[in-house]
Amino acid sequence: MPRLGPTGMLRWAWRQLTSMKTALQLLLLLAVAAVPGSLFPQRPANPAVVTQYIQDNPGLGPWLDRFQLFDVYSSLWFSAIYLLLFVSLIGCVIPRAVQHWKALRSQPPRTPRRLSRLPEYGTMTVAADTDLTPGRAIEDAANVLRRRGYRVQLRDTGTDLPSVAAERGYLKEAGNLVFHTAMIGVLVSIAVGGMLGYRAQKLIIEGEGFTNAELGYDSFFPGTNFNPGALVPFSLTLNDFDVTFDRNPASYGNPIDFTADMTVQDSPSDTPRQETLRVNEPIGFGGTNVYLIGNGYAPEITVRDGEGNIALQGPVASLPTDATYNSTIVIKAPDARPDQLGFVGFFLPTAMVDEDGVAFGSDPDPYNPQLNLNSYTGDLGLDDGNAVSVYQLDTTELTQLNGRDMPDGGIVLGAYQTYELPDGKGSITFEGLKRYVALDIVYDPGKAGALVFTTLALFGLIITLTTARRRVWIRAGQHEDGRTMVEYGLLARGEDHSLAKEAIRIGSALTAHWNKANDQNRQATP
Amino acid sequence: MTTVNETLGQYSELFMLLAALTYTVSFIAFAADLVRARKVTTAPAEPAQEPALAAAGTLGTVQWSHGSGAGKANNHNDAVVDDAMGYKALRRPAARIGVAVGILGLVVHAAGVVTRGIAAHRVPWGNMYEFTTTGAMLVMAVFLTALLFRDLRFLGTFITGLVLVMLMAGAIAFPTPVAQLIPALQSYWLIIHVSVAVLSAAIFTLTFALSVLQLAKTRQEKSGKPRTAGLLRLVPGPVSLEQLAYRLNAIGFILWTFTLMAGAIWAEAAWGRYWGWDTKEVWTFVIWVVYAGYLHARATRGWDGTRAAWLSITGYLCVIFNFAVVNVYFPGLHSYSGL
Amino acid sequence: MMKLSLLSRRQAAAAAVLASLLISGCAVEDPLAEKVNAGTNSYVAGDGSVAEYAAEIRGDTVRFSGQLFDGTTAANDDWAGQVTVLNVWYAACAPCRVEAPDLSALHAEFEPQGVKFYGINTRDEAPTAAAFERSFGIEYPSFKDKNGQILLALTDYVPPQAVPTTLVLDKEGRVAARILGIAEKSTLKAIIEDALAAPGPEKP
Repeated sequence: MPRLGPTGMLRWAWRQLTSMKTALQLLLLLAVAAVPGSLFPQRPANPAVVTQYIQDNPGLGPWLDRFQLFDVYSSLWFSAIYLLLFVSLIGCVIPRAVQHWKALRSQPPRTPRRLSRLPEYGTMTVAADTDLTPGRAIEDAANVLRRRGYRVQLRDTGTDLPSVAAERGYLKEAGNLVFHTAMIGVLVSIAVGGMLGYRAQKLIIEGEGFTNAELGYDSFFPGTNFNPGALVPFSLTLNDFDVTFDRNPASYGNPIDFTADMTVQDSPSDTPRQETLRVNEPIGFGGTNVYLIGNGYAPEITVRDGEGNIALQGPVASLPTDATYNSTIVIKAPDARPDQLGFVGFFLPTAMVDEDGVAFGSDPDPYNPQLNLNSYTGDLGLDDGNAVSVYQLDTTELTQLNGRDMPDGGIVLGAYQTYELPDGKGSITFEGLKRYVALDIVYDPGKAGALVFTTLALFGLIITLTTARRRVWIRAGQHEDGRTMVEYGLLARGEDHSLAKEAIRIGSALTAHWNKANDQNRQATP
Repeated sequence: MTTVNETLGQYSELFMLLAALTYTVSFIAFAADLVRARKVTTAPAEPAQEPALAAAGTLGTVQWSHGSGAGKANNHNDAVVDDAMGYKALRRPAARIGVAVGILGLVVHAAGVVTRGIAAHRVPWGNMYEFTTTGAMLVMAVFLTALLFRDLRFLGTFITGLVLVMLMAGAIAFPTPVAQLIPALQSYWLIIHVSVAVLSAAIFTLTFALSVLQLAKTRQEKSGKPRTAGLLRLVPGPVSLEQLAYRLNAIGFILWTFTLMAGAIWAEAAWGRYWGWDTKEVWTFVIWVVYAGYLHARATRGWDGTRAAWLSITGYLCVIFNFAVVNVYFPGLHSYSGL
Repeated sequence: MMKLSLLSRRQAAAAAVLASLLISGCAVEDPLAEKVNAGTNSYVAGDGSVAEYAAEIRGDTVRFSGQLFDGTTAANDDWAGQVTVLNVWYAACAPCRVEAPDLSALHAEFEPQGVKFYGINTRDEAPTAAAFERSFGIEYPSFKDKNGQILLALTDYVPPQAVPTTLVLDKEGRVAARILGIAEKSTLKAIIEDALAAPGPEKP
């Protein structure tokens, strides 16, 4: 085996990488590599579920994490596969594009000596009385081919055996190249969107508003190269949120309409206008779109502390856990004195009590709204400066006041009811009910590019898979007895299942033409 | 607010039941055709006729002879079908009954799908029951349409059998009363995205059957048994099966690419991102890559033939998985209500 | 020998290029996760980073107005010529509760020297805000900015990117410093003293 040397090695590796076989293997590997992402929870979509999964599977979880199986689509191995694939693709597309460009500018290849070896071959003999010279026959053939969309070149016209070489279907390779190049464009567009865009979440309760500033968001995920100056200074207010549930007996309680009535302003200096935000119908602000992603109930709560002061007042968003909007709720009153107060429990829009005395929600509409809460007192954990989710309360260090197993029982609050906490710790009142919407606000500057390139890819694909690239050669000569002999051969480049049909069509066209010409000849010379 | 028409919904279910019964008759007829063909002997092979040639030669001025390249026509004398999928004169009354009854079944089936849509005031593909019944209809429609171009009646048992299974699965596993759509599905993209997805799945169903038969035929030929043996007698040779599967897969792939695009556009409108690796998106992507692999394999030395057939089969298994397993068991944004 | 080492260096460079391609590639794919991991996401409370702006490069005079919790309207034009400390907060914000006693103390110290303190509350209703102020003895007023109008006005100058954010405006009403996250008492004190020491705008 000859020693290749470093450059030789590189060249060899490059040839391997850009070979069709490698590309195919990488493609299949990519399909396999994408699968684990559907089997394990993924961090970008659902970080909380991943954390839970690792907790539940202390043996397997950390190992899966080590191999990036919770971040499959940003993992080193997945990235390696698709980047190698794209390098291979580029290495394949560029030389083919050059080759195709040359082919576009060159003439069809010369006529093979033995046409009978081609996959489709036929001969025609034209009677001597037609006076069809071989040169004339080839011109006729060239015309027929031209009409069928071939690029045509006459060969050896001055000789006894003139021929025509023809080729069609250049678009097949062009479409192929467009498709593959567009794939690169899609990848670049995704990268651009990921780098320069952002995605953010905001929960807005009825009657409240929001302006597009980083700080206003509940969560904000900027791209690596995001420029805060790209934030469009829009603002919006949720006037009203309407929900309609299906009341047909068969599909009772399914949501059939979510409509958010909003007042929006494109910038502080613009006049406010009314907009309706619905699922599938985002509101746009110059490239930044606002999407209706979720909704829920926000009971209005007042917490009074042991000193009789209001420690907390306002709507508190609850998180729906099922289709009937049975929701979890966490209420924190860190400014209650002498002791901080916390509440954890459920909000039920329409509460019913089952035979065991357990409350459950029976309808997503608020026919009998009810709060079922446990209460706690002590240090809520907000005073040491560590940020905690507003939807969570760590009760391990707290003293429980109310609960099903406590002497005072759990807190059950119907609308407008107040509950006095034990030991004079304060009280809690269920003052009213509002709905809220959960919005996603997204700026993705790569979106348009992705659409353009996928559309290009689709068109390239359609063209390349429906066009046939074919070559045809036709040669003519004169028999000693005066008859004109014509032979033709067809060759397909790539998949072509109607080459035989094409041969028949060309043959028929020529036959018909010469028959007709001869008939006219005979009529002209009676 | 529109309401659903429950009476019409019940008629729809009745039509589905009738369609299933009709398909059963069609299935039995196609099966009888396969069984009968095992024993029938054909007349001695006539020389293959040159198409269009007889007409061309009559005027006498031009004599024309055409031949497809050497080494292609190597038909056994006893074979009933050549490599261009042309059948020798062979009476197949059972197959004719199968097709006729199948058409009738499709008409009744279509009536069931259409009444369902009218009952719900929307396109009838909003939940698993509707995907299944509409999908089954398209499988049958694609098959009957393909019959216009090729004599694929040897697939009749497989297709009618599968359609029956789909109708039963719809009725037993996913019975869903007629209902209005949840807000997430209220979009014209539902009409575009889902219909094209189901259509491409129907085409992949056909190619799946062709690829399976291709493998069976290849195995039979390799084993050296006479090509005519058994139930596969009516089935053309592996090369012609492969070529037809390729053409159909190419169409299916274009449609699947469009499905993926339309889905991405819809996802952008609904969730603010056109791609998010949701479970359903992952599998749609996997299917796309597998069929892309198939198309490349056909152009790669050593990967065409049997290997490509396996890719085609793998692709279809992914389609089934994506439809039957991902929709039902995997949590994700594509979990459908009213399952 | 020379040539060989050259080639292997080229090889190494090629490998490095490939590696960086891979790494940057995956970074491109998922900037979000990286941001979260790096803790630079603004949702995560600020890291206490301080940005001071030298007098020459300070931007325009900040202008904003809004409603205070007591119902009165206030605009910073009302106290032009004074050093102003603006603090973005809400009651359940953990870092805000840590810095609140220091802000209260600094307010007591500098109020006699004419330094104005204003809170900008982004989330609470009046009673909740009042309970916080009771807890920490906060005596300066706060704007009720649940709908973010003041934040938006400030975005034109120096965007407050975290809660808490503390801005110090000089006597001309320009942003002299921004602290993202918990304001360290001595740091804030030094900034206020600097702003006080600087000459004010020339009075006409």
